Amino acid sequence: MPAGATYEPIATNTLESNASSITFSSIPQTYTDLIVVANLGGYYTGTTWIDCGIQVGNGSIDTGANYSSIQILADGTGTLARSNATYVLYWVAAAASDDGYYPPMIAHINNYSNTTTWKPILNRFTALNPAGSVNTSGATVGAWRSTSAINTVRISNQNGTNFYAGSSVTLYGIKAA
Amino acid sequence: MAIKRTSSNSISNAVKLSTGFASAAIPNSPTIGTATATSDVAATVEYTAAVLGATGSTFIATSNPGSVTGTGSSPITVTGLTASTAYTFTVTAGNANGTSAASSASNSITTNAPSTAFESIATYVLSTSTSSVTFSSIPQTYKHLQIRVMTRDDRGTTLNNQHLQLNGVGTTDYSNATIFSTGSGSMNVYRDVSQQKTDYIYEPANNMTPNLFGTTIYDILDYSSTTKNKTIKYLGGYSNNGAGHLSWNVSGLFLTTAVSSLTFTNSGTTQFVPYSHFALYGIKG
Repeated sequence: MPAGATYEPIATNTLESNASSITFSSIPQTYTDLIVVANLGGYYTGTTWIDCGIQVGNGSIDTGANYSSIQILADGTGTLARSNATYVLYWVAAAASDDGYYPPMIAHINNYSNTTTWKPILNRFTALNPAGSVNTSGATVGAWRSTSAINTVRISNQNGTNFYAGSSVTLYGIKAA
Repeated sequence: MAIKRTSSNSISNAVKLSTGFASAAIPNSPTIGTATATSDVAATVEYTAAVLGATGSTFIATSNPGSVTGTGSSPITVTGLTASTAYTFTVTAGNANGTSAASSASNSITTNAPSTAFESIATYVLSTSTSSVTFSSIPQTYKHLQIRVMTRDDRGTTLNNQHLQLNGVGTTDYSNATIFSTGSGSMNVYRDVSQQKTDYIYEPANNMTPNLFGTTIYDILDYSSTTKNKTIKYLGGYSNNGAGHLSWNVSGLFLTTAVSSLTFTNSGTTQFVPYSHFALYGIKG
């Protein structure tokens, strides 16, 4: 079984000013899977966490109710399960001012370039924020219910606020054997 | 006039100067030898110092393209090259009086593909329905394994349960601890030490929405160790317009044998349907 290099960075997007989303477009179709690694700091004064969403598309981001998303969360004192149809869920810890803490999320988008099957999207994340009271980790299994190839990916703030400057997202491509 | 050799590899200066075989005591060009790629960023270059002329004290190999240099005695190691790139090399000899002309160019070499900590080992994409998929003869050269699975099965009535066995072990040496959820209400916990495989990965069955595949990412830690029990963790499930399952699991196989094969099956006699996809990766330590 031959081995070869397979894990390649495609692009990194670091916010130079506050923004509500980060988008990758014109994604090469030469890989089997995509990996998205996000470190985002979220602004929100009404709570200590904010909803984030992973959305994808072909040519443009699909914002319709074409996603399936099931999430489980635990914060050390309780558990929660949620679902969503317009984006693949994850949480980001929120702070009223930039505390410089951007907790991680890693997402796997498998078989993103095929045109035969729906596209599964899995993620794991933490919403730990030393400036607040949130100490949550969770996981999500989702799908984009389309057989179109994915060539654009967006990470967006679903609470109508921004991510702080300095937040970054890196997109990697994984080649099959 | 004949050249007077005073030892096996040197000639008296008097003879050399009078014959014109050396000028101003600068070394003659070395004779190039074989160049060999040794990694994604390095190569070695062999040479032979000129028999005639002044003695060279410094030998420098230079790449083309890039003019990347290495210094030393034969073979010279040149580092700082670019992966997957073709190079030839020349060698010069120098001493206190100057530097020789370059040797002729070496054979062309191509540096290795980029080194990475994450490499694909094998992938299966099913073209016909299959009851099990096995990766065998897995190289023992990595630290960990990761398997990315995208499956659907032909069970006609309801969703199904996917399993993984290591080395074909079908005894109760596995343990399973899983939290799972359907996306509404609370999460559930499942623990079992009686299973003969990992358990509790739900996958869509054929009576469910067309084109819906479940996905699971498995990590098998320290798989090649012969002194440690094996740890398996996975995240997987499927989601179908708000319905579905998510499983998050840590399993153990309480055997210290190195893992050389992995077998995926379903509950009962069901089969994975075409387009089901199994990709095995090795992660270097």
